[in-house]
Amino acid sequence: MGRKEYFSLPPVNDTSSGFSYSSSNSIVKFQIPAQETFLETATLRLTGQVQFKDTSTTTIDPSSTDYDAIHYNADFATFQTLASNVCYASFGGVKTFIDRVLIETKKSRVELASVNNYSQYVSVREPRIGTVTDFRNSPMCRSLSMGTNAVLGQRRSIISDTVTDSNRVGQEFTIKLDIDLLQNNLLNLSEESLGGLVITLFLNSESSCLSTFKNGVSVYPENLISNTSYVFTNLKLEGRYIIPSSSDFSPQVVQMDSQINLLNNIYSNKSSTTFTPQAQLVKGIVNLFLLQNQTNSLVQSQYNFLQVPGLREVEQLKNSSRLPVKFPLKSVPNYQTPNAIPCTNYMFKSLATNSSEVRLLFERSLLNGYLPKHTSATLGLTEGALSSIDLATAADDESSNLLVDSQGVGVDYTFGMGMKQNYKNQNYNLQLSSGVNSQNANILVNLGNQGILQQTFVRATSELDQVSLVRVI
Amino acid sequence: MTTVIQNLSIQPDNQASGFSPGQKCIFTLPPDLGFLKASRGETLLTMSVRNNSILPMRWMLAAGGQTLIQNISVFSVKTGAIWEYLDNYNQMLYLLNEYNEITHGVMQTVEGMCVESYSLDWENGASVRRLIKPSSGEMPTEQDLMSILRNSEYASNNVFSPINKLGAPVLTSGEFPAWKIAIPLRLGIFNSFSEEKLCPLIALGGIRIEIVFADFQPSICPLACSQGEPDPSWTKLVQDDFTYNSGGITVAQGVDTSHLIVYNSDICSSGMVVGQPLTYKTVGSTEGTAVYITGMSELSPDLILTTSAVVDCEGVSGRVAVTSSQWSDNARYVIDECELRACQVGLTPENIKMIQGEVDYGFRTYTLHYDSIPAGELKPNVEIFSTSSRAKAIFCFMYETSNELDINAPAYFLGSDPDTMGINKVQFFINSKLFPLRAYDPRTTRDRPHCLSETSKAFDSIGQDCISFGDASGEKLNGYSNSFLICRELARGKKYVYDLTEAEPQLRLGFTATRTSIIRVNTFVWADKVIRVNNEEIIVIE
Repeated sequence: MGRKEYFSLPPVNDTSSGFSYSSSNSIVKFQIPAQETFLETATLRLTGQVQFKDTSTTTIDPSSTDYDAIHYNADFATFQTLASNVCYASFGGVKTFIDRVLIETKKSRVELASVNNYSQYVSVREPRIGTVTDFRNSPMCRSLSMGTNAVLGQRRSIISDTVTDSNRVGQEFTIKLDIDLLQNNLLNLSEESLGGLVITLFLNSESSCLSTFKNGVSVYPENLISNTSYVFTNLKLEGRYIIPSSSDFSPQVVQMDSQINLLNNIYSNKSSTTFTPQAQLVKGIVNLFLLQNQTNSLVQSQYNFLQVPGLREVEQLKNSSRLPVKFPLKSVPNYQTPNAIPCTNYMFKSLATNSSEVRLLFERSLLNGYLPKHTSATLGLTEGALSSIDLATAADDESSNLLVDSQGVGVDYTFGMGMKQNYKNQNYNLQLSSGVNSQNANILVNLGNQGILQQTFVRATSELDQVSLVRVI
Repeated sequence: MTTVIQNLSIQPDNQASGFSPGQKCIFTLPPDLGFLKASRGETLLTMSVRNNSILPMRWMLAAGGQTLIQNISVFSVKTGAIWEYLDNYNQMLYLLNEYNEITHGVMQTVEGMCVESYSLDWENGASVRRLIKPSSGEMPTEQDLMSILRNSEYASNNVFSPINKLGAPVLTSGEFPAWKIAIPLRLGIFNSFSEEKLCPLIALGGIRIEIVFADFQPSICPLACSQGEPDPSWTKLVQDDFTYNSGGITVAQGVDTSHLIVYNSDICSSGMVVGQPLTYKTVGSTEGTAVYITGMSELSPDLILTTSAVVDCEGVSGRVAVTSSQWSDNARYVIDECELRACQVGLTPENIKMIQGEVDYGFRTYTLHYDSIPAGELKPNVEIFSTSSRAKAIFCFMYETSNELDINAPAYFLGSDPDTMGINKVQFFINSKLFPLRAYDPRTTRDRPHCLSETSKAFDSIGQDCISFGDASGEKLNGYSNSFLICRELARGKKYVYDLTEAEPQLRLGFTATRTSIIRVNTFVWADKVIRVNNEEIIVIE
């Protein structure tokens, strides 16, 4: 194996004020020059610091009396009067501040990889990598995500010390960019091959990645944090080159795990959505759902992936034929069970609707046919999220945007055996019977009275020829 | 050529709905299904389980819905021969889940398990059987949000009998709502206990699976938070013997009242429900007063129970405790919509090659051998009547028979720890040799690490990860918190097996003293089996 060299690259468009969506400097651009080396993508990390500001200039810092220890230890009623009523995603952390990633070759600006809604997909995968304890104890906190521990610890990561050296302002983070091209490959950066890379990060707007601590809208209006922003400073792209020896080899064609993002809306309790993903080797399809009032809102978290409200039945079809599950997956009980009682009357809200098979399939769709051994996506997680939504109307000072769920509807084609499905010019169809827009009294008030946004991620294997720069998916 | 893989739904042969405890459910998997993928839970048994009494109950937390299966038999469709018989299936699954699953995360919803639940607790230097609620650790209480988080972990405790905000049962038409579980059938013939591979139904000529559902006792327990006899040191659930005046309720010492106060508890975590009968006992008394809960209210941080009759603590010094009464006589459950979700893998040239000519299909399973140790015996030998030629490991699960069907904490699942039973010597005698060479003392302050090491090695030899030894927080680190097992690894690695045909294995035990109860020893002998199929016959090599 050839010699290894570490590198640390600042953004080519770096400024002293850092990167922030609200200050119209929301595009971060890195250039990896063309050279006779291989890029060891497994080592690639984005590092830097993030600060939270309650106005365009004021950092939320502990030297201010508003944010001192007394206020942070105070009960929520006191806390809510402060401008630091802000939180970010419990799962995903700083990763959710990135909306889109674009990778081009430097020599011809050919687009090599493009990932939309990066933050959503990252956020739903993250609960499957660790338990509550893992998030507390392990280096996963390098992305500032804390899992369900966020209700205890996240308020501490919002504040920054401005008194000491200004270079050290903000919470430090280091994250791996979970992009198909930057997974576990050796990329040839020579002129004859990729000819260098341009990696562009498009940052999320504040309303997409920040929210109020509480989702009780009536008492704590969103304008409480409407001036809050985040700023990335000291960003660096760090990793390792391999200076190849004669025996080193970078494959001309690299295989990647890609995802295609598709969007749709569901306005009815009987819905059917169809996509033609145009991918040959589809491993699975992941559907996430957001309430309409969750998007572009400072009041609701955009990373609370609840199951479809009042889900009763799921069918997933390929070319109008159920595949691979040949029977409908039903929820027992559900809101239409004879003599069902309202969900809000349950002590545990998660027990009003049970779709265990849908849940199993969703887990497999995310993890190539396997079930996670270490996971935070438990019934307790669902219960916390639903209870919090119920409390948003009943006792808004006890609800929280940090108690989130991580569910959806998925299908796995790999079966843990590496199998794939061809979706070139072929249709995927998802049929749902649910309580969407049903206004049914058995569903929680905030869930059954609106349409939902369906985000579909088609997980497929793709290939990139490093010489011809042709990408096949 | 693309392999066709699909999930099919198979109905039972005998009936689809209305299974009661003790009844049998039969599935036939015909050879034309081809190959079955089932080793990692792809083939599921789904059923809508309904508590059709008005008594709030729960199943065993570590086993979830698997609790409801007493035993499973697998027969050859072609010859009728029995190929696998998993007796005490729910007991074995309980043990495997305890040691094998660190989080029970996904299964929490699909099988109704708890995230964390431990069989034995360790309090004041002694173990207690516990099944009341999972250990959630000590959480800070100064923030309201924490109460939501903490309590949400109890949701799976209530899947069988949900309750409403006031602690009363959620009933529809006088019954609890059904809850649909999807449990992986962990059968040896599906390779659930060995390396992952497809089950060649086409070569085996099809299989018939007979599932016998468990009696409600000990599988189903009252949804209550009490345990055992009144304990003076246990102050969780007491009638206050001091003046308590808050929210208009005054309870004073010596005054008859129909109120009980649960200190530092709320409806979520207490496990108490309206309608739940209680036997109210004072410390040291043998007779109890039967009452039931007629109302509950929260008076932060405490819980007020209103009872059907006056509970009297007049003249009682110290505190009193409450145990739930033996009310499960009327408890029952019913299973509807029972289906097998089979993951079928179609025929391809590659896997057709696997079944050409003579087929040797190997898998790993266990056989169960029962024995009992009389109360007066101090140095008993437990005979293990296994004649398997391909043994892998021996698991001995022991408990006092007097607690086997304990209504709140059945030893059938929880076992007993060596300190309680007084075991001070463990040694296996196999093929005229002693294993290990020096007998070890499994008690807590003696050779406990050795005992756990033996357990870990035995799990490893059957291809199961021994991930968790239980709760290691605080004082609990000292004791056993998973169900206690005495194990012996017989053959390490995938290739090796141990021949027990003429080995006449024994478990040699020593006790510190005679006991008041007989001790049941359930010995699970794990072994590989091979089904040999050729043109002339189908035989099983054990």
